[in-house]
Amino acid sequence: MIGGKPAETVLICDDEIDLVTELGDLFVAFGWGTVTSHTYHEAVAVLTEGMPVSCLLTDRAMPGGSGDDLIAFALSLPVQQRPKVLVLMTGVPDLRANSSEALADLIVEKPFDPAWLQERITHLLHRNHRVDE
Amino acid sequence: MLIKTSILWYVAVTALGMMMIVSTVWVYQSYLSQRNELDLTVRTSSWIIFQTALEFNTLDAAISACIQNKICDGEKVLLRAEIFASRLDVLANSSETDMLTFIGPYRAALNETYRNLSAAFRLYPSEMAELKGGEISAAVANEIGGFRVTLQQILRDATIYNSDIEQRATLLSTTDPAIPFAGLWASAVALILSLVVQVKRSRRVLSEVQSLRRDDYDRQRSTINLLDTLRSPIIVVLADGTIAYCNSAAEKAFGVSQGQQEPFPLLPDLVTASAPGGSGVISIETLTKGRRSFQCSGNTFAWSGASATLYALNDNSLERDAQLAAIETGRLIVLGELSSSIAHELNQPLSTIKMASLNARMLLAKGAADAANQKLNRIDDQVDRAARIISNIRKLALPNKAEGIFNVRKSIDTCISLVGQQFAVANMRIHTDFFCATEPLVAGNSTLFEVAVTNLLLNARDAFVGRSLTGGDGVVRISVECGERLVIVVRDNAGGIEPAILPSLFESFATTKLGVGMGLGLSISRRSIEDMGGSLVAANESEGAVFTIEVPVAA
Repeated sequence: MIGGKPAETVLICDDEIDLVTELGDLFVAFGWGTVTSHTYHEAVAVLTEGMPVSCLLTDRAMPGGSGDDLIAFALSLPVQQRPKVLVLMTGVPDLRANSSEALADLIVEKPFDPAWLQERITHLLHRNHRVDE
Repeated sequence: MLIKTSILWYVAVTALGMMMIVSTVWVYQSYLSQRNELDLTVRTSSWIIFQTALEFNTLDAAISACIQNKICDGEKVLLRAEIFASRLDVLANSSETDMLTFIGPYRAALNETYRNLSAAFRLYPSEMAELKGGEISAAVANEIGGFRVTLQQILRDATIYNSDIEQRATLLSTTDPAIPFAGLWASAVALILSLVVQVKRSRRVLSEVQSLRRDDYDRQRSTINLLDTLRSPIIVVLADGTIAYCNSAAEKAFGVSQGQQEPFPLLPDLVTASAPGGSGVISIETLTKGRRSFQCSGNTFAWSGASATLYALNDNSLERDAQLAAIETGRLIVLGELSSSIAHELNQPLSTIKMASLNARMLLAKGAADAANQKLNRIDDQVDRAARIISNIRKLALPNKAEGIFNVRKSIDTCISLVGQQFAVANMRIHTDFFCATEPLVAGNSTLFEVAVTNLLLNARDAFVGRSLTGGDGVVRISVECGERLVIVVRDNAGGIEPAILPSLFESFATTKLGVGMGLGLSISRRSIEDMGGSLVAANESEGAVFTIEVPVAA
């Protein structure tokens, strides 16, 4: 699903359909474009198609492929196709999983504040833009 | 008493045998005596008849001489007639001729002739003196005139009779009775000997039986003495429910008494617990220590010749408490293993609720009430979902010590819902097959059963993940078959259990998950199932491990 004509687009991937819908609506309200998927393979298809995605926001525990796998796949893409910010959502507090060990830029535990998340993603996006430049 | 009876029997048999021998000899002597007497009697009777006939002929000759020669001695004729009459009397009435049956018909004629001749003698001497010899002879001849024919008939019958008697006497004399009597005597002796032998054997058997009875009595006394010293309650119940014996521990604990015939309230529970397939554990409110747990066993045997059941109750409350604590620990371990899954399960609806509520506020701020209402409905749905998750978790999280009849199908559904998220993440699936005509009901603690099954499912998940068997092939199949016992088979395709660990798999601290588990799960799972009177065994198949649970179907 694609929003209006936002500056940035977020790809949301989670097997929880309602959660994806609500999160997508919020990001639209925040002025983002959104693309949603419910499985690893759907998300891979979106990324492979070359759709410009600024941020990948994925659940960690999903059937058919985990969020970690999806982020690893995203990082394997050419820089032009690669999302600038990679965010991992998890419903399970896991001390072993942190952003340095995982490949994500940010790990957030559910339930989280969407406004805070949007601000963090925006911040990371600008930071990563500067790094690219 | 039995010995006295045996001696009396022995004496009686001996006396009977002696009587038989004496009787046999007695009969033999009697036979010989009677044979001689018969011989003598025949001779005597023959002699009497012969004498009678001789006297008749003599008298007849005297009379004929008087009549023919005209010279006669009347006195001589009377003398001959008197002698003849005496012979008639002997022939008709003596004991020697009583046994001569052929005399009977002639007895009247003989007596009449005798009377007539006697009447004639009474004429003498006063009247006889006046008569001449010829007249006397005529008178006597008149009296005996008809006797000639009678005498001839008697002589003929006597000849026939004597001939017959002679034949019998000859036959008797040629047959030696000694041989049959000797055989009879020998038989009697043999009979006596066999009876004596039999009596001796009977006495020996009787003695052995009495010895065994004494031993049995001694053993029973020893057993009772031993049972009396035991601290565990022991109760012996006859088939009719009467308490044949109870030791002091049973009397103190349950207030029962030996010989008690009124209904024994604990008996049905004892019978159920100690029956094959029963739990073997019974919880009883004691008089001294409150409610206690007893390991119960029942054995049927003969008690004083009657069928009885001995119930032995071992107070295993401490052990039982320890078992329950271990099972409780297992429940907490499983709960701990499920905690991440539970957190994830709950965080999903909470996340959705948080986002939907924020969306609703923004929509309300814009005045989009309908859209906001949709968000509120979604929040409602997610709250219900969270409530269902919490309800399932509560069943496992709250200690439930109550036992009862529960539906295995529902319990398995609960287990699947608890591990569903973890299986989804591990890319594993669970298939269930129920081969039951009716709902599978069993008796026991449903929480402990669910802990056991959940533990098996988590083990399968761990085995699959631990061997990095990703790729969408992880399958756990649960089949439930109803029969005399309920058979629940949990089969996975995670490669199986290490053969070296398999024999000790159900021992505490045995684990294949180094660094992950404590190795208590399967041990506690087996205890939980055994607590229901069932069994839990493990085996390997070509693709993975197979765990088989068998539990009794609830009546």
